[in-house]
Amino acid sequence: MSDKTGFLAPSTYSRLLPHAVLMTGALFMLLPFYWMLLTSIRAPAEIFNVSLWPIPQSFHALENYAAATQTVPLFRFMLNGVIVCLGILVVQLLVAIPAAYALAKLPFPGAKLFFSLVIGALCVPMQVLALPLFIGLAWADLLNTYFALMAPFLLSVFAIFLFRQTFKSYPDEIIQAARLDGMSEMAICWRLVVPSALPAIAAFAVFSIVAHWNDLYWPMIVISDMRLAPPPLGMLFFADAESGTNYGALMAGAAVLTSPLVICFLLARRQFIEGITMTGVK
Amino acid sequence: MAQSVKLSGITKTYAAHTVLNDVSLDIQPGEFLTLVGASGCGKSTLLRIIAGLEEADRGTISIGERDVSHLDPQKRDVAMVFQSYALYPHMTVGENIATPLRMSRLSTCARWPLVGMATPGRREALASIGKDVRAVATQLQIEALLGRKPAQLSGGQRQRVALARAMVRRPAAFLMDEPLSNLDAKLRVHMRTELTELHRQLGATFIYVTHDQVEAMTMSDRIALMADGNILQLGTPDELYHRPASLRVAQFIGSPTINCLEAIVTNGVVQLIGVPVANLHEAEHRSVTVAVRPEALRLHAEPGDVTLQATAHRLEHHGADCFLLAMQHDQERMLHARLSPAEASGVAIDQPIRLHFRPAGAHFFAADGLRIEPPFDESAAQAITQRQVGMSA
Repeated sequence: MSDKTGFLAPSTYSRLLPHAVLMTGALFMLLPFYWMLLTSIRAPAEIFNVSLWPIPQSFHALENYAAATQTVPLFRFMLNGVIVCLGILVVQLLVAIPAAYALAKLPFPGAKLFFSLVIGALCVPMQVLALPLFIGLAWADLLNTYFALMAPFLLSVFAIFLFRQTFKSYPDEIIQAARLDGMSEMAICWRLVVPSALPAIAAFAVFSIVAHWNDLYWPMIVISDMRLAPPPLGMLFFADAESGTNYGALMAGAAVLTSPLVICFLLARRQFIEGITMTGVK
Repeated sequence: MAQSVKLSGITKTYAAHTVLNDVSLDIQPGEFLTLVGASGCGKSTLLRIIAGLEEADRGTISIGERDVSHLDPQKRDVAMVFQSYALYPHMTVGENIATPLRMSRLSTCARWPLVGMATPGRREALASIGKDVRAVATQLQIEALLGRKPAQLSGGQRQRVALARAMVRRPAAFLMDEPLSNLDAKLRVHMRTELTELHRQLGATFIYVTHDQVEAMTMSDRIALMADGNILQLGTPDELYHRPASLRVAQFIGSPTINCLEAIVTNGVVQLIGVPVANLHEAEHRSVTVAVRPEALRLHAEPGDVTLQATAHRLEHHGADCFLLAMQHDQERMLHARLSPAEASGVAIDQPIRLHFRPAGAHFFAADGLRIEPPFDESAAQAITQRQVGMSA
């Protein structure tokens, strides 16, 4: 890296510069999280202290986290998040994978029309559908249920589109060999094509879970019962319950509710990044 | 069990393009039949129609006594080897070979990951599948590879696995779509022998598609030469080489390509560069193509030979024999002659040279490309000589 005179070679500078820029950006992005953690261990008197020093004058973590977990059912919110995210993801995959396989590999009348419908559906924002969906669910007496939380997201046109593009590149000859060997189209789809598309499926799973774990808009519309609230809505209930005064406990709750995704990301960092760069290429 | 394969009136069109035009073909049980032709001639489509991967617009296919025209691929009892081998990438070699047997011998229920465990008869079926897979692997010498994934294999090994997967189910017929074209030249020659040997051992019906006329000539019992969705000629390699039915067949089969020269017909006599070559019974032909195989061209003249004036252009040494490229003077055609190295040593490049051939050893094709057979018996030869005398007089 550095030569004997102590000067860095020009190429080293050009490599360090992007890192320096990125690190500055990362600092700004991590600052709110750091502030959240810091506030969650400070005493109420210290909350508005601008110091970034990590050790508070009086260590108040236990009280804050206890307050957070006792005032509202934090773990219930997390369980709701898990149920909703997994429920959505499983149904999305069960529906989107066969649909994408049919669009990618099976010639059938109307295939082009269906694919244009998929693309068209990508252009419709969630907010447009919110009111009719709400009225429909209310009419069916399904408000305040897990089903209401999941229903609008069970069919993901984005998943169909993404998987169709991935499956398209699967070699036709292997599919034909499988047909000659006697595999059904479903077996070809699930046992041959899906294993080869795992990176794309993982990438989609990441997007789906993150989006629905963090979703506040739709739960606010269909859920008024605190016991069914997913994490962001739970935070909102907590803020209301505390009238927004006990910031230490509020931040403790936020830290608890953010942690599952952060832990997941740290555990599966490599797959996460691979998946996202892959969808970038596609 | 080797079965016959009978195609009649197979027609296939894509949009406005006719890929197969009323193709009929009778393949005998245990025969090695090759479909050969340039790319786009319809040979692969025909094979895929036999396999059931595509449906013909018209025509019927029967395998043995069964009409299979509208059956699903797996019910036709044929196995196919693909150009890309089409191995299942995430399965081991053993699982790849076992797949067709698992599909036919295990019930749908028994193939499910967990539920299947409890299915009656599953253990026996799996044991018999394992036994057959090992037997085929031993036959093709790939036992050591059974636990590997296709990505860890060389091209030749993948080829064997693909063959094993086709053989393990003992199909009525084997369909092969250019199986050797992804191998390097040396391995391809080796696999040619091995495939022929395998065909002999199995005694099964082989339908083999290739664009390589050498593969077709060396391996087949019979060859069907295809062009533009039609079979131009069906026959043994010998027939196609020595009695090509049309100029296109003659030009496709044989390497280097057959030498073609234009000749005019006057009063039923074929005249090549003003020299009478053959006598035709029918007088309606105006011009014919005289085609001469490279090995029919000689440096030394024999009585009755036709002589061509040319300039030696280049010599290609191939070890056992030597190809001479020479520019023929009158029609400015590049001629290929197959010479022995001893003969070739006497050839001077860029110098005039005389090439001779026996008229009876040449092929004659009418203007429409079809073969015509001038009679080369004594009387015809006399007739030629007499007319020659008459003309010179």
